[in-house]
Amino acid sequence: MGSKESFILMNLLLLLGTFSGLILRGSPRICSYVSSAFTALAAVCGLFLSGNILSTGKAFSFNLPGLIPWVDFAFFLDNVAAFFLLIISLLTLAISIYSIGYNEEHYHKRDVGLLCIGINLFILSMIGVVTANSAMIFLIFWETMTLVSYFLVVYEYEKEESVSAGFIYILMAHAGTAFILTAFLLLYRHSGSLDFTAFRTSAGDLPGGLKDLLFVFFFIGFGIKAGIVPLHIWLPKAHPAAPSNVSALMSGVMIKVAVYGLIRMVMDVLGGGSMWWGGVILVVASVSAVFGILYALVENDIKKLLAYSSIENIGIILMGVGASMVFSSVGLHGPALIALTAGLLHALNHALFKGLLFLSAGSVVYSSHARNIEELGGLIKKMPWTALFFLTGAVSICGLPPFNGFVSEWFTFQGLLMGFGALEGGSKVFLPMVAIVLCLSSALAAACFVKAFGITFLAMPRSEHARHALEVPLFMRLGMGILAVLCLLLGVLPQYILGPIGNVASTLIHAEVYVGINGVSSDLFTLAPLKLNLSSFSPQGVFLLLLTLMGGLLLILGIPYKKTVLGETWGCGIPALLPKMEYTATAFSKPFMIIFRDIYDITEDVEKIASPTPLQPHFVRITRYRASVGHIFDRYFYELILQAVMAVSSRMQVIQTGSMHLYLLYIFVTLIVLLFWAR
Amino acid sequence: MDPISFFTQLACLLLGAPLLQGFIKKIKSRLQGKRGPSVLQPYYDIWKLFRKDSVLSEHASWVFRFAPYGVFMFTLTAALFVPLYSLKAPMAHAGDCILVVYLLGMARFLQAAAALDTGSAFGGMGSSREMTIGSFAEPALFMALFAVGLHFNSLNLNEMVSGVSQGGAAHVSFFNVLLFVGFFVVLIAETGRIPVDNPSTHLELTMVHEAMLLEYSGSYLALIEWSKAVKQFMFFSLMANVFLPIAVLEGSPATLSSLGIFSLKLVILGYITAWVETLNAKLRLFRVPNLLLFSMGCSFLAMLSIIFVR
Repeated sequence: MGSKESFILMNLLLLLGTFSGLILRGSPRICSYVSSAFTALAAVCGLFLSGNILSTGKAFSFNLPGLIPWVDFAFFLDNVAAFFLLIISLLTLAISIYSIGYNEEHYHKRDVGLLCIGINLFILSMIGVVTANSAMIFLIFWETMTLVSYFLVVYEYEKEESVSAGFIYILMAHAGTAFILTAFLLLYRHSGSLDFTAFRTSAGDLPGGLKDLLFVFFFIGFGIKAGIVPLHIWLPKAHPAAPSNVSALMSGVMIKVAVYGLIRMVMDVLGGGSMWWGGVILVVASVSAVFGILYALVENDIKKLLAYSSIENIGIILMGVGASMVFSSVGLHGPALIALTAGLLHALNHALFKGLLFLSAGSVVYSSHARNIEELGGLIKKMPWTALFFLTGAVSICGLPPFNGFVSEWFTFQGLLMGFGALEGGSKVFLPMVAIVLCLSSALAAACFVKAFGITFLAMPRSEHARHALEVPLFMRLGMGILAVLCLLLGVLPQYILGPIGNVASTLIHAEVYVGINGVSSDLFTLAPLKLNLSSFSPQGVFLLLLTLMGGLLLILGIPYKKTVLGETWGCGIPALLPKMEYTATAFSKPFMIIFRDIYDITEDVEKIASPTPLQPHFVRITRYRASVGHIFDRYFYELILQAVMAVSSRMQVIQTGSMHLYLLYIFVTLIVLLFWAR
Repeated sequence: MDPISFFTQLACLLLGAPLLQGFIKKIKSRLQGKRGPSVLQPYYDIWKLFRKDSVLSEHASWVFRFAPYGVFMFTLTAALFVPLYSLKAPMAHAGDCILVVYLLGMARFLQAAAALDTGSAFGGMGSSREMTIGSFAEPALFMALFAVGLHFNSLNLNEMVSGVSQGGAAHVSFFNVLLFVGFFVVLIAETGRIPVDNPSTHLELTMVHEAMLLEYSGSYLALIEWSKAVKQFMFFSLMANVFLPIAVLEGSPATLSSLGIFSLKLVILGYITAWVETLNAKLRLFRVPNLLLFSMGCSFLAMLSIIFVR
């Protein structure tokens, strides 16, 4: 089956999924099963198609000229689009299998058909964005993606939180679309056509100032959707409010589609630019990485924590992209290739482990109906598989070997540190500084996920919700399992994906450079090492060594399930430990709250409620501690913008007098001025 | 990797680590006017613990049981990348210093997660403090390693050590002194010694690392104590070979003289550590980030000095 057939089949299957959602709305179970089956089949087609293009390297064009007048449906799948299609398909496969079980939660409360329609249309629009070859098509699918995801975010419309989250989301998304639209219109004016190939050929003679303006507009427009700081405020509200399979899609795929837009427009179409572009991206990426994880550390809502962590990882992806742009601007194509490979690999890895984490969090919420981790605990005994999958996702996202997060972080370090040797002057230290920021954010992520995993799954249940949790149905476990296995596989055997990613990167930086990264296996524990300028690393070798040592340990000491006596945890003499005595999530992150108190605008309140009986009015019975973290971006960035807008508007109110005669005079004067100006 | 050097390094790590631990404890005791336990006491402790039964909390899950094995495995793997007494560590080209630091990070993750597993508040507290200190110690460690690595244009530990050896014998330059100070602070933080953490405290509220081990017993505790000793040995070796460029390492096979030099450097560093521990008091937890930022500053200045001081 050729590329054209699989492309048509994939889109057809998604449309069938949408229609089955529409037609079978009456019986939720059948609707969910049939629709998810279509989505899964479409994902398989997508995998096949992207694998085909990535391995053969043959780009594929598809045009539907006559469908709507004046709109040319031009699609173009080169290896860049195919790579992002691979990300979309992998996650769609896992999420659609997961949805078969997950949608049960909504069977009797809401319309499951709408959820199925929404998911299929969402995926279809994302595929459209990634494969579009014309500004018109790109914007049509981009807007569809935003609108459909808005409806999915407000799916649980009876909750106040969902509705307000949806409002902020659609507001900011449209602000972003406005920037992208303006940039496209500027390019259209310069090149005369809306086609991306026309943009690309005419970008050579863009005046410098216009090119810089275009970069700024594209960066802001795509950055809002990707969730860079300070334009991220919608992300922690919208991603948790949506149903968990949608959250996984949004956080795992949609923000990568925004990164695709940025990379495609700035690196491919505009052809890269001055060094300060990369510098700006690096600064924004570093700030996003640190602030994202700092806010995740103090968050107790499990889905909000994951949303903030997505902001951190977008920062890491953009570190690779920014470093690549810095290198390309001075003509160093080898390091540029490595840095961009790092960014793209991290995009793939993040989609996998963030999808896995959101699906596991969704399973936790499905069983226990609680999102606050302070109410959970002890779930590892009731939900062992979910706990294992969450642990896999948590270890991967912290970048710990032997999982996939480590490989992409290693590459990002290599790309950034090459800047020391390759660049000159002050920028010599700039890139290693970004590497240190990456290390800081990675270490903070480890703290965050120890908290998330430990408080949610370990020790004793802290509330009734957690006590009655049960393991989730088979399909949900299957969906999570696929992603968990992929996380381990890509961590141990990354070389199979590194070749295609290298090709994608060299397409984007417009340079036919081949950086041989596969070294020679020298011995048993140095299998197929990845060899770069500064160092080499053999994922299989390390994994093999770990297994050998573990095997040796087990042989000598035996498996850890013998000669143990079970007893109660030491509680300083108290006979039985209560869940109230366990460590809480707020307490776990309190040291960070104290150390970074200038960043977290903290308001603390300690209330001592004395005994209610009049006989003992001075003995404190209840102490209530309340701490809330303010958001400095709300206070120093958005408030200022709002105040400025309000100030300007109230100044301009002077012209609104209400007098019809004055308004007619305005029209007359404007007409005269325009007639003189257009002469 | 040839099997001889692999097993020799493994043996040196496993057998040498408790000796270093015992030696430092002996020096500390002498400095405090006590006779102190025998230098071989850690060996006796580990042997005793392995022979004992374990009592585990009934709230603990498989994470608690698996963590000591995991910590031991990851620490030992990381230590196999560090050149000890020769210029070649067994796992030469399979990884670099970034891998080593992240393997230790994985060990820390497992340890901290397991500490939360018993439902004890002490475990949670130790876990929280360890992750706080770790999130500053890791960047400081990276900063020091990057300063050396970028100077010698390689992050591979073998090449870093050979670069330092070729740099010539004891030349005290701005770069070396700054790095020594920077890395020494990180060594104190990562091995859990005063002024960051008190390894011999009995008060749970002052514990950082010990608090995570309170619920372990028997062979689990033996494995964790041994891992701690191996990690300490690894950091001292890094310090000796990379950050103390006097009396360079000879060649690639281990010779008697290189073993002697290595042991001598460890003894000197042990003395320095014992003195620092005795002369200082434990820092408040929230002052530790300041200390580690000082270390990062030293390493950053060292990095700048590579570019601007030639």
